[in-house]
Amino acid sequence: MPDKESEAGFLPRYRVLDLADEKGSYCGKLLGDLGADVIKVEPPGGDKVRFRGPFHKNDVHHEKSLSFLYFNTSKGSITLNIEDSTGKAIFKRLVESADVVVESFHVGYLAGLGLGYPALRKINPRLVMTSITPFGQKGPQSGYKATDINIMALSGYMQLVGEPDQQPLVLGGEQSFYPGAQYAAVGTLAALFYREGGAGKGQQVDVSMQEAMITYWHEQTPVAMWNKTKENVARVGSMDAMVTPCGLYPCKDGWISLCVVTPLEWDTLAQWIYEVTRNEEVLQEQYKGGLISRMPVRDMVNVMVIDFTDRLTARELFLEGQKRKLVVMPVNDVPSVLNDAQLSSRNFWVELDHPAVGKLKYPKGPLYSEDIGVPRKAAPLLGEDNERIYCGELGYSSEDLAVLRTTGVI
Amino acid sequence: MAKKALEGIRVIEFGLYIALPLATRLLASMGAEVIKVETLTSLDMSWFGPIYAPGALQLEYRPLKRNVTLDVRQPKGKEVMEELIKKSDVYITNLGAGAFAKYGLEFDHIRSLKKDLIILWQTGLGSTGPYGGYKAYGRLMQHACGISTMSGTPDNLGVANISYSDYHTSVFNAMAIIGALERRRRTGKGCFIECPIYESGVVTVGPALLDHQSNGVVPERRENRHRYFSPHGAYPCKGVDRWCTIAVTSEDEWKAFCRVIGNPAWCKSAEFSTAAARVKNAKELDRLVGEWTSKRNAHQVMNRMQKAGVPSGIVSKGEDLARSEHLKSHNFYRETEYYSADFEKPGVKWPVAGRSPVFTEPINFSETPCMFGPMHKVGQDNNYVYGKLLGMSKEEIRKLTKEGVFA
Repeated sequence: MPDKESEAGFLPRYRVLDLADEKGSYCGKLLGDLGADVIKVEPPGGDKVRFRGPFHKNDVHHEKSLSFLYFNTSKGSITLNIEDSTGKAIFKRLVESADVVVESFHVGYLAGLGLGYPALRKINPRLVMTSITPFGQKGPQSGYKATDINIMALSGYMQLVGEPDQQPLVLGGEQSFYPGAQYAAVGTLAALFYREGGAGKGQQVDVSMQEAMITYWHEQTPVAMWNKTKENVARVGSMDAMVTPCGLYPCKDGWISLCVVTPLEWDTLAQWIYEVTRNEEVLQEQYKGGLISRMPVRDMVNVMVIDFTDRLTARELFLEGQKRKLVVMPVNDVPSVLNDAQLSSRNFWVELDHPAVGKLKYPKGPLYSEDIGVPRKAAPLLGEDNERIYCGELGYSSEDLAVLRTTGVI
Repeated sequence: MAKKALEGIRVIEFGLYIALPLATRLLASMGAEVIKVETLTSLDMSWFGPIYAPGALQLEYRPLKRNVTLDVRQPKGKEVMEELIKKSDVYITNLGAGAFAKYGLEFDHIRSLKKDLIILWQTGLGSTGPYGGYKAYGRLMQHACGISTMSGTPDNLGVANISYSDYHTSVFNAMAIIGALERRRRTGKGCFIECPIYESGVVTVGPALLDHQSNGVVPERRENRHRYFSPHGAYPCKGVDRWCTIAVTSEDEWKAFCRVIGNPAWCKSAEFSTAAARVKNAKELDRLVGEWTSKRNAHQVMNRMQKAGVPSGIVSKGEDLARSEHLKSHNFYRETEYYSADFEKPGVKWPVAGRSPVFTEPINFSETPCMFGPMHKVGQDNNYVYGKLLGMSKEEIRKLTKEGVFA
């Protein structure tokens, strides 16, 4: 077993064998960034995420995929052909001393190789095996193939995005790759906590990306709505259908977002609108109230709000809004996020050096604590830990390693 | 009954909205004892929702939690809060620094109550920095963190009218707490962690952040089209607002896709012969695919594509989620009773309003399955928590209730 106490990380140096592709790679990153010893187990040609664009300087190269670089910080890498019989035997040896296996293969693939959870548990009863798949390990759709857009669709998320009379839209940035992997990190840690707390045994942690994504929009209570009203949640564009005002509004230099939740917030906003526009209508009694009380007069309210936001800049609205205890947020694009004064002042960015792409700044993650470190290293080069793991841990000689390489095992 | 993953862990929840109660719900489903501390003198706004079943939204946040009423603005209320914290492992809150100062519950003080306490403070934009402590809503944070400008059409930002970034925060909260519990067992030490909603959102645009640094790219809003794959989109099907998504990501899938739609002549045309050509001519390809799908039922399109190994999926509506045989096989939605609040006299009455379905956790554990249970009325657990846990006498509980401390 690896020495769990050798480094004073937030998490122990749990050995995590990470076989996941883009659907689950973020789970290993979260565990690795928190201190676990995560080893990416890649096919000899490399994890397929290495071939996903975009690439650094648009150079299509397996060390330069920006997706791979993002999802694999704080990890090591070994190559191993688990479909080969020697490779399988080596994988089983790695499992003997591992704490966790994370995978996102098509359901049944590992079982077909004799490397499913029942087989691995026999080798190491303490193993936690975490699977992140579009629809989970069981059920009539568990064998369905899905990419991001299909998961966003089947989870119902797309039903919410876009204009009412237009097509449903997917979010940018392949968002379904996050919730499932995040829940998987929670499940993995809970299973380890259970094991370490005296149970002594591992277990299988099976996460459905579809279900994870469903929980990410459930404040719209789609199923309860169908049960009670036989109606479906519909797309409403960029402004909320019930809470008013709430959503995106044009301003002098672009867009801002604002949302009024409490009766007091409305009174404050109405007064501010009046000060700027001198429109007395906005102060009328019929507009007062909380969360959904302006729903019947939604269109009129939005007209008055736009007339007001149009006259000010995003920055004016954000800063003056805060003075008045109102939430008006800027609508940032990617460059403005990278240059945001708030994030910089909180040391949100970590610069990591990578042999093939050099220095880039990465988010350190959303947790602040003097007990939590930052991502330790940039993504690994393909097979950079082969010698350390195969020779150092499993006892192969460099001669053995050459044979394994030549025969396509590693 | 099997042991639960977080059995024996007690969590005090002091906060509201979405991210915070969802995080503790997740912990409760794994066996932690979560005590939600709230006061009826200012009821959580989400009791209003949804409009067709006021109160049913609370089902998402409250299963398996203990609910107590406590007004910490009163000196005795603050004292009781301190006693509760001393008996707990985790304290999670999303109130602002100003409120803590007003109540005398600043973190330095909280920490002094219990040496190995795990404290999680969920904030909006973060507690420090030029915008430190600024008021924020998760609903709007998705716009600050960049997602909205990457989504939608060239003219219109793509927005879901939900608190998207809150959900990331809720799962990160739970992750941080379990990690801190593991660390406490190993080291005996407590921990203070802050989790801002803003940054929970920013981490989910990661590759785009690197792409801008490497290549100067500002992500385009490309509707449903993909930078590298085509066909890739939501295609209209028979019926009102019915759509099926299809994503062809390899040559094999392209061939299978062509087979499913009956190998029309255009499949062979030079315009669509390679992946690069298909991406270049995506608009025309989408039109042709849409012609085929619009004559068919969305479920049929999905099933035929899936049978041939082409990634596809209908755009689910509430009714599809309710009817899904797949979700039923996971027992994903479960029904339980909910209560509606009486806003005239909060807490006096909690009528059962009906039963409603609610999602369960998307994690399936083989040894310690997540639990699901009913929601409790606000204040339902006062006797258990104040009597059994804190050892107060019935008279004392009655007195403090009468004085409005337990209110």
